[in-house]
Amino acid sequence: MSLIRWAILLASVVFYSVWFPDGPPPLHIRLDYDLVVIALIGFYRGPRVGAALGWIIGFLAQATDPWRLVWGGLFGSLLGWFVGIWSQRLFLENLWSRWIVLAIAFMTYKIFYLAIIMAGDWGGWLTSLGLQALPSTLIDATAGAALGNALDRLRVSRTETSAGATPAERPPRESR
Amino acid sequence: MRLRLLWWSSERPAVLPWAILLSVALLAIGEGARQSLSALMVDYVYAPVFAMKYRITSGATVFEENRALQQRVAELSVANQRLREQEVENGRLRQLLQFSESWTARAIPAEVVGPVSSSSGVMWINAGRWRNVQVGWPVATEDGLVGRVIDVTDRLSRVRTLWDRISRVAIYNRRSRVAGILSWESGPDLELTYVLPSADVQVGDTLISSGWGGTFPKGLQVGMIASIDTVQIDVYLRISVQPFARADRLEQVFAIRPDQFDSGTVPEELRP
Repeated sequence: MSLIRWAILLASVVFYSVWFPDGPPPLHIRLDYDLVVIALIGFYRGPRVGAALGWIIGFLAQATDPWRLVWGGLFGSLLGWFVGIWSQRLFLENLWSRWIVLAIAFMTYKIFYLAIIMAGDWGGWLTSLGLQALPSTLIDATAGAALGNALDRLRVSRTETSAGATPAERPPRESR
Repeated sequence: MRLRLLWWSSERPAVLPWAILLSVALLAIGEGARQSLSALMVDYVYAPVFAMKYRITSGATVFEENRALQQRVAELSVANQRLREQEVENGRLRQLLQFSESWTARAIPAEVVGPVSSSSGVMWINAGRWRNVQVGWPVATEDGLVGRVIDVTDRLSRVRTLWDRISRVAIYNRRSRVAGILSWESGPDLELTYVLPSADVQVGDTLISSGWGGTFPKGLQVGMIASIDTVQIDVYLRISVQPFARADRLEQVFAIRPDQFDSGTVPEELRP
């Protein structure tokens, strides 16, 4: 992916974070766009790029809060790295396997992230996990898996197009 | 392979350890440096997007807002005249009673550009150091108190709202003068604590800031008592307070500069 595409990707994360810093109101059950992007980067670019871009995206998404930006970067890089590792070691072309891996990764991320943010308020932590993290994990994993499969199809169709489908190589139509 | 993924290899560097190291370093540098870093990011990465968002969203409703504001200005002008009369009278009475303290306030209007987050209760407003906003200033809407400025960048300020677990506001009951402390646990409403069961409080009473501690000026209205839990489980009553400013409807606010002045003297402009 070219530098410009990466720049557009990062800009879109910043834009999303600014526009919906707490998810699209008034829904608490929301798509965490930044997490889905980090996971997809892990899927397609491997653990190294996943960890690097995950750190930057997590950091930027939480940059308005001096306390949270550290954890956004840390957990973002872990998320990108783990998804990258799993995508190399597991069979992830199947929609359901991809969905399960994403759901586990997102839920792990949210369990640790909320534990840090809640800082000892375990009642609030459990409530947030139940009412916010779990439902949005289902949405995030569904969106991530669907987007991943759409990207796969796009890549496959591009490969097919580039492999011998140029107009010059097509057989001439039969004249009636 | 595993080692390569975890650490540096000559061909392709492993990134995760460096990302973790960077995060640990950020944790270690302390709150002040993190705040500077956050302010830098907000000023140069977020602020342009905040501004664009504001222009787009405000542009869509500008005509309706303008009409509503004109009407509001007319109403406030009438109210202002009446209040100035009362303030002059108040000044005279203070002189007679030799009260030693009072305050005036200058309000700097601002827009909420980063709404209240459910996890931290902190929001961003688009007035910062360049408009002379300072840390510690109260922030309010025309309905009531919202919070306090805790951090200022060149163009933006971070406000800790009433909907933050750390926030505490010392209040008076306007009717009975019973004092208490307002805090927040969850949901849109606040909790009034340290009020004894024998205290004179009723549903519908208005609460105003008491000025204790000097964090908030005295007399800013904060909310209304919504319910009183009569089932006693503690030494103090459990009172739910509906704030006048609503967290989910914050758009235009004022950063208030409290100007202390000695009161036995009435300000020049208020003298008859």
